[in-house]
Amino acid sequence: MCTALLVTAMALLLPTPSAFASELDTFVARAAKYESGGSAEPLLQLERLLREATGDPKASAELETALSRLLAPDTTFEAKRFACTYLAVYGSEASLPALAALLKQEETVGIACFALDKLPSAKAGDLLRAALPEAKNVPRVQIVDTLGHRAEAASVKPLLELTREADIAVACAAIRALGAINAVSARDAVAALRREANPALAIAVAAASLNGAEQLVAAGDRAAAAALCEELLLNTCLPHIRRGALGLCLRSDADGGLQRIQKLLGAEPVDPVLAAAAIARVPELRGKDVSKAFGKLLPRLPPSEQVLLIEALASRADADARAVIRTQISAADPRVRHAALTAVGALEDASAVTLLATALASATTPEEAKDVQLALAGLRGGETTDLAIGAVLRQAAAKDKPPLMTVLSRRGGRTAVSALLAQSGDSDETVARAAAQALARIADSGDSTALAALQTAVAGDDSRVREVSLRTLTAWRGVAAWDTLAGIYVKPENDAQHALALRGLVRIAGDGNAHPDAALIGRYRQLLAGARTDDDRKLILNVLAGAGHPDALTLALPLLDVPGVRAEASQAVERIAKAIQTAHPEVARSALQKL
Amino acid sequence: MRHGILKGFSRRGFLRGCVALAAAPMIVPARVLGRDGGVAPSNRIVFGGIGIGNRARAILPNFLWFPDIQWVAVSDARADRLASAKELIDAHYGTKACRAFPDFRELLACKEIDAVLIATGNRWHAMASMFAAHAGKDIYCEKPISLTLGEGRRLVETCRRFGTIYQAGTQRRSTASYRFAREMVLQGRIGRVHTVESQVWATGTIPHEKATPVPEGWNYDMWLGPVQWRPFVPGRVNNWTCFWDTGEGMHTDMGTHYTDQMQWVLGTDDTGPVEFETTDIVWPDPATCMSETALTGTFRCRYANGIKGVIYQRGEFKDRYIRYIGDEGWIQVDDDTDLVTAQPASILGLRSSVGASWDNAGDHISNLLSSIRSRRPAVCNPEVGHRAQSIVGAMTISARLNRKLKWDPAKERFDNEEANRMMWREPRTPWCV
Repeated sequence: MCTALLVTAMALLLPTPSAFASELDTFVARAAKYESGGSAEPLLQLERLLREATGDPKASAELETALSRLLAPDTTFEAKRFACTYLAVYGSEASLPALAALLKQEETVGIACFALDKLPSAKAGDLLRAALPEAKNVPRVQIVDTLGHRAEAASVKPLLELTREADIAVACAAIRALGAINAVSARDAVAALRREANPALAIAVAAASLNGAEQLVAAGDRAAAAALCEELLLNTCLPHIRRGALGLCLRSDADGGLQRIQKLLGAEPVDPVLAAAAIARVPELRGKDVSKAFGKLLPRLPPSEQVLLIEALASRADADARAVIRTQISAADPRVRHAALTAVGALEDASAVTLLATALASATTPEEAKDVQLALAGLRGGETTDLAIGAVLRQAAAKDKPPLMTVLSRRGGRTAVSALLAQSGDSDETVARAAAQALARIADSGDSTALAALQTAVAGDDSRVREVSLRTLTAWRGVAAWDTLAGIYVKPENDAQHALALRGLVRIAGDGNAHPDAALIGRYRQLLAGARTDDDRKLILNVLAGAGHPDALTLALPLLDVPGVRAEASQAVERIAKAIQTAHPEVARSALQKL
Repeated sequence: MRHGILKGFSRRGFLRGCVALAAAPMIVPARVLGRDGGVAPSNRIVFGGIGIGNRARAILPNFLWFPDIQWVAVSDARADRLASAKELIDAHYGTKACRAFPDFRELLACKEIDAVLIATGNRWHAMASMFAAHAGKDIYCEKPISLTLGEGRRLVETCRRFGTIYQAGTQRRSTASYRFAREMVLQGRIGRVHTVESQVWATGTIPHEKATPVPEGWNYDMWLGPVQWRPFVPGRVNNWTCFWDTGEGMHTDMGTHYTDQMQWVLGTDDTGPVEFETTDIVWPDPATCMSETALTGTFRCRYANGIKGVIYQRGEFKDRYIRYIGDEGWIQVDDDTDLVTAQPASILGLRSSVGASWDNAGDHISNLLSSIRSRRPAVCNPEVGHRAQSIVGAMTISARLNRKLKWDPAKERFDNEEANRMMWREPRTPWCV
């Protein structure tokens, strides 16, 4: 019912039969002469009709005939190319005679095969096979390639004959095509070629063999596939062929490749080509004690493979894998230690702090210490881990404290700030200095949790902690510390606090000069309002001079009348006026006249 | 001291782009590989380049930055580009050692080459990759990874067959802004995602032009490669994106970056949508234009769970974006500025780190190098690349047939025979492997 309705609807949409035929004739006649540079309209009209004819067998047949007419000897190459492109999508057996003629010419064999490849009828394959004996050189390879893509069992015999060709391109194409055909006869033919071991054909034969092994796996014949792969795993084969064979084996092994990988890694010496590919599979292996088993194999491997296995175990991330990895942070080889430390940092939490702290204290090179620091900085567990590091820091010898403080500064957060503030009062000057540096790093990170901790500390009871906190806030990245600093600037405990706060505020304001806006001007206004001395004003004016905003002039101009800062105010007015003179010429000129 | 190609290439900017490097168990540091911070020659990965045009020259500095990469050969069908690529590489190393091959098959025959960058025109991407895989080379291939769905599937099979490590050049997977957007979606910050919207730019029209002789120094036959032969027409060759057999249009070329992101965020890397439809397509006027692909249009898909994807091809180059829309908000990455915007805006406060934008592929290359050493799949491995490409490929077929199509992502078949026959184009001999 639906189909009938559709056909009726299509019939209504298409022109009447006679008009349709006439229109088609017109388009075909014009399309037959198509060459680059001319209008492509007839081609597009034909394409439209093809789309619209879907579901209408009669119209489709007429259109196919029309496309076949475009393959006649007197049409242009580009018309033929167009026709073949669309016969590939819409063509049927009806177009085979016209396409057959194109197979005979080197110029057109490509476009003919383009159409024939997708033609569903088996007769298309017959046509290609029939054309093979007379085809030479490139046309022959083209036909062979297309037969390979069609992958019909009937092509095995003619293709097999071509594998003996002296022309290597033809022989390789034939082998490639045989590999694509899922048939016993094709696999047997490739097996025979494997036994002949012609070096010129080796890659093509190996690739076709891998293809055949895949077909066997897909058919459920794992044993036959494995036997074939064993031949391809031999170290006389090329590395990528061996890796391909191993991959197929591992994918088809009932245990996911566990035993095969263990055997490979347990061999002496370890196969350098296959080891990495085998280890790459380790994360996907299922089963109890898998990680433990590979942990036992680990020490037997060369360092480069140990590194890979540690990374693979890290991907498994189960308890056994983590236990194995922990043992390797003290491995003899630096590459192995690096891999283990990286993995520990990514996988572990507070429970690894003591282990890593010990490793940090015993690190023999700066690079190794950095690896441990990165691992500590990366540990999971948030504040719990921070607290554990803080506890170790408190107990550590003075010489071991600076690297631990670097770790805390990388981790940031409330606990880190608290621990570092405590250390900043250490009687050992080196420790105190390292704590200040670590706090400065936190300030540079702009960590909002750490900021909150410092804002609390700066208002706390301990005057030393208040001072260190204030110093840290003066270096805080961005504008987040402004309000706190501004509060201290206006109501300091002493002149030193006022001066420190001003230094921090001026730095923040200066950073904003690149994008001057009303908020920035507001900040400068706040600064000038809180200035206590001409020295304060001088400092502010020096930075205000870089704010290219007309309202910055409004702030600077009144200071021309203050004798103690007149020179700085003049300089500021001049710089600001010059910076804004393009956008605000009147304001700038007026200001400059006051100098 | 950096040589020619890296002049003006900021180390700080580059390292900012490589934020993932320190965290991931990837590359063994130089100091443990060789002396004085260098990489021992035996630990270097030796590269060659196939197709060294504009895109290759843009990304080459990202490759050359890595001390564990040694670039030894280049290949191009154009003599001028080949000569200038050799000059560029030689200037970087301060030698004359880079080998220049007019025929890429000779480059692939070099045993010392471990891996290749493929930055040809789109028509060559899949086939050149398959040639490389057959030759035992690992691959970084620019997007789109293929021009047809069948070609993409064959690429996946070929790489699996030879254990090839392959990285598709959809490097936004390694870009901080896009990673952040994904993380926010996965954390449920915009609620349940129902639509993934993206935009690529509208293309212009290419007027009809007559064929001309092939310019001196061009191997036009190789330039065409697997595409069926056509006369040399400058406008067509220089604007190959606008023709079905060489480019498939902008929704394919750029759209694949966005479908890759969509697949990644939705966790559908081994499957895909089930329905495709196109609307509002504006085609070039065949009477005046030879270009074939859509000028503007809307390309839609739908996943089995109801999530919708849409690519708008409209506006200007600078207007491209991807936006994830959920029932509680949205998050968007603007490609031109690398700016992330969101609703609610509070999402943006959760961003803890920034990195280089997509035009620095350092992290993506780093991931490839790590995979080459470990033989573990790269982040944009062939299956991932193919599935992303399948979406725009299916959209193209829907547009060309002017019909809605249903798609079985497991069998990779449409509900329409014509559409199925458009999934593969027979390559031209001898450019087939």
